[in-house]
Amino acid sequence: MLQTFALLGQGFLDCLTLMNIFCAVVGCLLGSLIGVLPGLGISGTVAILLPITYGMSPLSALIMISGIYFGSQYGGAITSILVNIPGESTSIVTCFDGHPLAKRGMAGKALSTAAISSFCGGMIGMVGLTFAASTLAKVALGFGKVEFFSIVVFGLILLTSISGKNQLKGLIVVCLGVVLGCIGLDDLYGTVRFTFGIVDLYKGISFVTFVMGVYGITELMGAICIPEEQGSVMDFRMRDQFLNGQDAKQIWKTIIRSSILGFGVGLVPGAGSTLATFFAYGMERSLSKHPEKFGTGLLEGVAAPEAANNAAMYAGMVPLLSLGLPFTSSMALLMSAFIIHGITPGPLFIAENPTLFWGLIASMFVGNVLLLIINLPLVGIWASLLKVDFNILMPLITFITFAGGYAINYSVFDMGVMVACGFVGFFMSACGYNMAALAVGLFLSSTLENSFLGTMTLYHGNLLAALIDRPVAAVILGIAVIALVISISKSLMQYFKKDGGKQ
Amino acid sequence: MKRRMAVIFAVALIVLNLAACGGDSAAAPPANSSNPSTNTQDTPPAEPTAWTPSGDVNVIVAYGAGGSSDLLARTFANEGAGCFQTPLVINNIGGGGCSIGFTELINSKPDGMTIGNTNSAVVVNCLTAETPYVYYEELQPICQVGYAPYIVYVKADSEIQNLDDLKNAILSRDVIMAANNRGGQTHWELEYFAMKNGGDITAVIYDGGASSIAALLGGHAEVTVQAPSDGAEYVRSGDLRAIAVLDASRLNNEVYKDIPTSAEQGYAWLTNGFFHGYAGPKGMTEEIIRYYEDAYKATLELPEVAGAIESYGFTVDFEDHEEFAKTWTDAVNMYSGAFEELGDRLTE
Repeated sequence: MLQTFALLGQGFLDCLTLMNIFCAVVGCLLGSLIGVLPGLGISGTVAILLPITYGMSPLSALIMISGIYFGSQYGGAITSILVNIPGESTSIVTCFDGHPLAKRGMAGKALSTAAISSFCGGMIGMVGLTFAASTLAKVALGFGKVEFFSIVVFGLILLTSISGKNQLKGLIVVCLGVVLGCIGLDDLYGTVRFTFGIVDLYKGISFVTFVMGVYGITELMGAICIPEEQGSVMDFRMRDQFLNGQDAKQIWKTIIRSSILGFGVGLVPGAGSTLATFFAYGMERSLSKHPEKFGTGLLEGVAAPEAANNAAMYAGMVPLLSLGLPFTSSMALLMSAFIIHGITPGPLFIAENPTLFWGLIASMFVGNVLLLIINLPLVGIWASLLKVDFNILMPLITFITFAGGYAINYSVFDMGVMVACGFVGFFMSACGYNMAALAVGLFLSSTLENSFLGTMTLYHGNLLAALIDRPVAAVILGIAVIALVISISKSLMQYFKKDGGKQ
Repeated sequence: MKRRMAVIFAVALIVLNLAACGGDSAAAPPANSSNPSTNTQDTPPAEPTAWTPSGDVNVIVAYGAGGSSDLLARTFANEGAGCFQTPLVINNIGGGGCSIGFTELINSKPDGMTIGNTNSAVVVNCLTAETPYVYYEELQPICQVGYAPYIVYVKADSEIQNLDDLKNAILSRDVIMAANNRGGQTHWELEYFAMKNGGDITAVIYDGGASSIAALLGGHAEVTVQAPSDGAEYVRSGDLRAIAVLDASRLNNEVYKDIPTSAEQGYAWLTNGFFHGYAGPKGMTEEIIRYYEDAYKATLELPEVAGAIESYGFTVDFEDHEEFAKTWTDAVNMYSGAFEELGDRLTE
């Protein structure tokens, strides 16, 4: 333990040079920017920046690139809160309460909550990463196909209950999302599905295109059609935009609980950080004294997902740093940044490159603090964006949405897909179907399918045998099924009650 | 309401126009590029007809970032800047057993601005799965740069020490293997091995080398076949054991030099490897192909690049587009023979 502190101290000395701090600032700013501009993903930006970092020392390069990751995580929350467009799967849940807050003229509070929760989540995640990376890596390796399948099912069912009032509708939408995720070439067999012979659909509907459609375009159509919002420029006082003592008292427990939960769920390789946001939100809602207020603009509803996704991001680094196994494309890109600088992450990485490892950990602390220092003063500026006149703001959003939809794959076809998703999404939301459940169903579709098929192969088509063999998975799946049965029977009972009342 | 709609539609249309302009400008460079080359004819002494790219070259890698194909493509992109005289931008389009990336490559314009990394999957995948195209017929080979054999790994504490042990395990119980995609490389070798020995193996599909190795480390699978680069760190750390190099000769590499080949263990019929090379859409001119052949060959001669290729477990082995085309044809014959014997074992 003492040795860990000594190494960490050395790491701080290594990373607190002017050049490295400069790299961290540049990385954080760039990251926030790409988080705000949809279509400019982390992977693309890092890929473009990698050659620039080539001339830097490995530590400076890694500091800058990890700054981009942290920044983008926070940047995603900005668009979720201000305009209800989540840039990434991890910031979908932030919309639930973040955007209603902004609509009530409390955008600044929501943004400050997001910044502070991200910071705390990051710090707690980092402590876990620093002191228990190699132990936790074993936990991450314990997830087999069966566990994956049950945790994804659990996540999706939980989502139907947190994303809207009517769970039956939530369930319908999640299933539809999973089907939409099947469009294109299937991951396992390379079979073409639901493309109707359209070659552009072979690569499937990309998640970002879809989200920009069902959130961005839907939002624009809403702005056109809903009369009471016409011309309303939000009026709020700047001094209401920052958190006060009472707010802090309201959210601190949420932040700590969600960070710890987020870190734990984040160890699930791949989809961990997205799942972490639902779990944290669901947990906070069930612990809350007023669960019915969730979704109408509660600070806890912003704090929970933001703390969880940041803590989960660090958990996602555990397998990379301690085993050299990247499970997501952004982690793989971080890994290639290591390799370009002559370091091969693997089980021996920490032992063979202690200076680099501890320097990187220390730089994460520094990056996190910098991000908070940079972003808190910007909260006012972001919030005042909502004071901008409709005739300037809406065209701007239109521009960003369409340009983003095009920029993901430089494809006009994708822009069409985005508009189509927007139209369908608009009418579905008008009928009370929740778009978050649809988007996440699409996002988790391939993980669900792969893990289910893997389970079936392993146990020769016998799900029961699989569950007996893997008790943890059985418990998770059991809870999920019970939750599903309860929610469906509740919906049905409501339906029959209403029916009976009429007669 | 009408005014709002008008505003939003106006902006949307402007963006559409911009997107359309983008399409035009992508088509425009070939026309423009002839101008600079004629203008600058008197400055460089190089042959005047030589084709050069008019901007960043898009290199499609049909795998996610971080795998050996990706790392090698990135080595060329980073080290070869001088030889290509233009940035190579690596574009990872993974998934669908390479079909998404290859489809993108086949459908791109043959103007030399988009090329792609190709490996044995251009042949293997077409023979084992329903693919949108017959890749090896629809792609134009450019050059091969290296070759690597596959390696069989087990977890370090496994009782399987060599291919004979693996054979006995397959014959006596249910052995689970982790494969990176169905029916392709890293899957068929052990199915073939099991079949030839009169047994059967259960293959579970993971999405890529990292997940397959994680499955081995976590005890979810017993054996996997991977590229030398993907397993090297785990052999070095003592977490995995390499039990056979699927080739006729051993690898000349610090980690693998003591690992016996399949031929040495009496299974000379079980060899498989993969090439790393480049291809583009059909219809590229001779000049474009020659430009890339020369640029890749020149990059290969840089000591850093050769060193990097060897550190990933490849042997440097340059072939021009004609030799590379023959490598593809030979591979088609070799694999179709093996797959015919395997029948529906790979797809069930």
